[in-house]
Amino acid sequence: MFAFIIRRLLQSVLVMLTVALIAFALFRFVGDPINNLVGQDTTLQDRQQLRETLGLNDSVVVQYWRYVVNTAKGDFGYSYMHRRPVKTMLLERMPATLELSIISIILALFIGVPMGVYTGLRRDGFLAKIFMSISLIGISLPTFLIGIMLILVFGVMLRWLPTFGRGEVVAFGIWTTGLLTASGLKALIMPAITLALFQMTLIMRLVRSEMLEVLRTDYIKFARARGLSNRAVNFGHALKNTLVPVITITGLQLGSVIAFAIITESVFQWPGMGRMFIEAVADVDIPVMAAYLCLIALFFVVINLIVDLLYYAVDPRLRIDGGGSGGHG
Amino acid sequence: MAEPRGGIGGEVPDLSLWDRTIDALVRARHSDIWYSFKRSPVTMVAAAVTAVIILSAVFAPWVAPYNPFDLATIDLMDASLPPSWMADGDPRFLLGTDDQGRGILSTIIFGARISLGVGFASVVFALIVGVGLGLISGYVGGTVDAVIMRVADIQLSFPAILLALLVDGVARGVLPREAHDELAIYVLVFSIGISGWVQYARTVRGSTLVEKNKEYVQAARVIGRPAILIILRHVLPNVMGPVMVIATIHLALAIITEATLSFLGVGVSPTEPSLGTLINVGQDYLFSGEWWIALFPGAVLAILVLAVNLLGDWLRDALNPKLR
Amino acid sequence: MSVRNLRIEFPTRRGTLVAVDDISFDISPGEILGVVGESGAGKSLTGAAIIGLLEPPGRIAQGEILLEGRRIDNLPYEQLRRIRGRQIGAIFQDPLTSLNPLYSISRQLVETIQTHLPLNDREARTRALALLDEVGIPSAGERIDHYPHQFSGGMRQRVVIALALCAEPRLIIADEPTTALDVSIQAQIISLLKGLCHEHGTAVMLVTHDMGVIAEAADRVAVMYSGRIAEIGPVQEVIRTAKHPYTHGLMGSIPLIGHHVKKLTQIDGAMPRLQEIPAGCPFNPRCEKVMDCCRVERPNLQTVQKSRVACHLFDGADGEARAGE
Repeated sequence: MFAFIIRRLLQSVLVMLTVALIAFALFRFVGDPINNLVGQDTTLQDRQQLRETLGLNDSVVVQYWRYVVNTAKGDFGYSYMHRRPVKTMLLERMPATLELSIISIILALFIGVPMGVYTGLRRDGFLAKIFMSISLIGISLPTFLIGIMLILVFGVMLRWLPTFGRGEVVAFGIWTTGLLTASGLKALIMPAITLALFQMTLIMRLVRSEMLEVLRTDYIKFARARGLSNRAVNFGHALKNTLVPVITITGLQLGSVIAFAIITESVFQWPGMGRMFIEAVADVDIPVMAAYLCLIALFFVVINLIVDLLYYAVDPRLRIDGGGSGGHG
Repeated sequence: MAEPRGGIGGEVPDLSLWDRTIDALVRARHSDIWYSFKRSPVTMVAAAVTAVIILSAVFAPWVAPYNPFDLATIDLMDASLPPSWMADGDPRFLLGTDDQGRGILSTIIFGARISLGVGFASVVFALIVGVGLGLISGYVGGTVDAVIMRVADIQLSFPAILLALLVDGVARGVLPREAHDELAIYVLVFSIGISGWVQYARTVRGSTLVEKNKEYVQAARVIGRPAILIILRHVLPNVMGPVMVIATIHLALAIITEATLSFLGVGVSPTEPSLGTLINVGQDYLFSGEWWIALFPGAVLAILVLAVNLLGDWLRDALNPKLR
Repeated sequence: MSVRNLRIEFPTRRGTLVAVDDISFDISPGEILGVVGESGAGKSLTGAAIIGLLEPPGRIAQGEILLEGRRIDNLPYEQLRRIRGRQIGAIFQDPLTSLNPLYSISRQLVETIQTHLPLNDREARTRALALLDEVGIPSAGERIDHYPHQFSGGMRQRVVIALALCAEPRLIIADEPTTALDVSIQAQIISLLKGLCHEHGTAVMLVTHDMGVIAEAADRVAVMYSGRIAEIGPVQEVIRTAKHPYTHGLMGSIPLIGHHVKKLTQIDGAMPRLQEIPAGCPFNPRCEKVMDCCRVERPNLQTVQKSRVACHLFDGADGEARAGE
């Protein structure tokens, strides 16, 4: 197991280095970093000077390595647009995005899994069919459209909920939270639902099909033949066996939740990293784009590691065989 | 069934790929696919809806009541009229007008034209790249295969929308500003297409691996005929079904992605609005009570995507009854 | 245990298929009844019907199933569930897939024991250990907390048997219990099953397509063909003096040690599919001794010596004479 973790860690580092290479290439070769930092009237000499101090005349390998070291330290350089350290900007925005994403995934799991189990067990039931139809609509509706509809109904027509921003936030050091104020919670409702809806339908459909698959297996038939109660069979034996794929997908989805947060944040003018990224794309603010890319990759890598560890917790076959099927490429 | 009728000797001309494809389609018409289509009312409605939207998009200049891009027909006096059935509505504009006096119905029809155009082009692009890379990966094998599939794995774990945004951002940085607006559509097609090739590549690769080791391919190799051509001829008809399913579902996804990018303001240029752009523009007017500017394009987008998704679902089930 | 005139149907879009048609048999305590037939003959379905686990759309259309005089086929699900495992145990074909891979053996045993018997955790575990010992798992104390994938196929089937025996059921339905195992292990499992049942006085319905297993283990045997019983009787009599031409063909297809047979015989053709069962005797297209009446009239079971046979060859008083050969 230890060897397995080491191997996974090495793989993760490799992925991060690759992403850093892309980010570096973006930073170094898309547009001229000097032109983006200085004004039109800067002399050629000054430019050369700056070029030298920034190390842009060193070999590409040296520059890349410096970029990696700086990135690892959290130093992403300065935003072209805002002339502020990207690190500070990210830190300001991160709590908003993380709060929104985590609340959404919790919402998606706690509604999606039970609905999936239900539709799997009562596959021909009336309610199950309604759930399935709704889920198809949920998958077909673009995220931003759901957000707009919610705004129209609950924000404009009913005037129940605020349509933009985070409400009042409370600061703990560098972390700001909207979870502790009434206006913060109210502001969170619509964005969280918007972001959760797609993941919820996905999780529901996944759990359903896994459930149907597992219910067909011999060990479920044998469990029934031993007279175990429906509860024990469905929620003990069957549900646990559906967990492995659910963990994988949910883990991967957590990554896309953060990515989809870009859209949700845009619709609700949520002051998070996603909105910052969109603005960076529109303004070609390369350092911000590169930093966001690295950060998202880091999230993905960490989530993947956690997913792998959860496998071990759930599936004894992996635990004892020493990760034989853990991925020999 | 897929034996080389043309013969290895090359005396008789090989059946061309198209003949085989048509063969397959003719067979399909008499088989379960057609039967299951006729038996599923939901699918028939979905097909009809898709057809209506596609046809009116293709023939937009003739179907739409006005050309929203023709400045001569636009009158600012008509701005922000509600749908015709409402109190202040104008019978000329069934679904009302936007802030510049353009009829919503017309902008929707022209917008759907752009949305569908970008969607189809992206799917074709992804299909060509994916099928090509899949064939190469499966046929050449070894390091090439490993590299392609590794890239595919990594890309698959990244959300398509993020990739498309990055490509778009890079394109903005590389291209001069004026050129970017002109090329926006191509950039969009490229970025959406490139984020969707993986599924095609995986399917085709699998099928190529299977065909590659069959005897007739070996035999062709022995007598010195380029085996890749033979494979092409046999693999492609075999993967037609799965590729069609992927393409249909990908079309729905491509339309959503385009709409999302345009909604976020990094898609097509606002002078030629797609459905996503229309919704983006309309969003600002929600608060002043002019809900129709955003709602109708949104509804059309949702209905289109739902219909295409339903078609994809049905096609997948019809081609692979085991999945049921 | 008695099965009376059982009929199992599958309603489909193209009409109702009759998978099991009017079969009756009894199993007495401590007896092993072998049920043999080709795949699709309805033998596994009969087993599933007895434990009340027919998969929809399959359903019991007619007949009754009695356990110790009580009718059980029409009980509500919850009552039937209490009978499953408690009074009727089941063993399935593939031990590799019969155990939940995510739970340890002890957990699966204890769960089953506590479902049926009022024991606390420690008592249940003690009983689980005793069961594992009884089914011949070496160093059961160590292995009880292992997971299924840590056992070999034969050992897993022993665990499955232990699970079936948890609450000392009166009847065990063993559906092809040895088919998925190595030949050398088959014999061990069969003798284990046989020994346990004779010890505990448990009745067994042993479903298999392997006449060798039947000859080894069963007291009586029922031969099924196209959802009907062709012949049922004491195993020695059925093997040595098979009466139904189908049974005769089956016996001709197994090599017996000590018998010099020039050539193993084989029955031509295949069992008809459910939607194409011919009128009269279902075996008539393949029967060497087919008569006109076989194509029209369905033969009923009739007593011949100690067996009961469904064949027109034995119609009337002189039936036995005609069959003699």
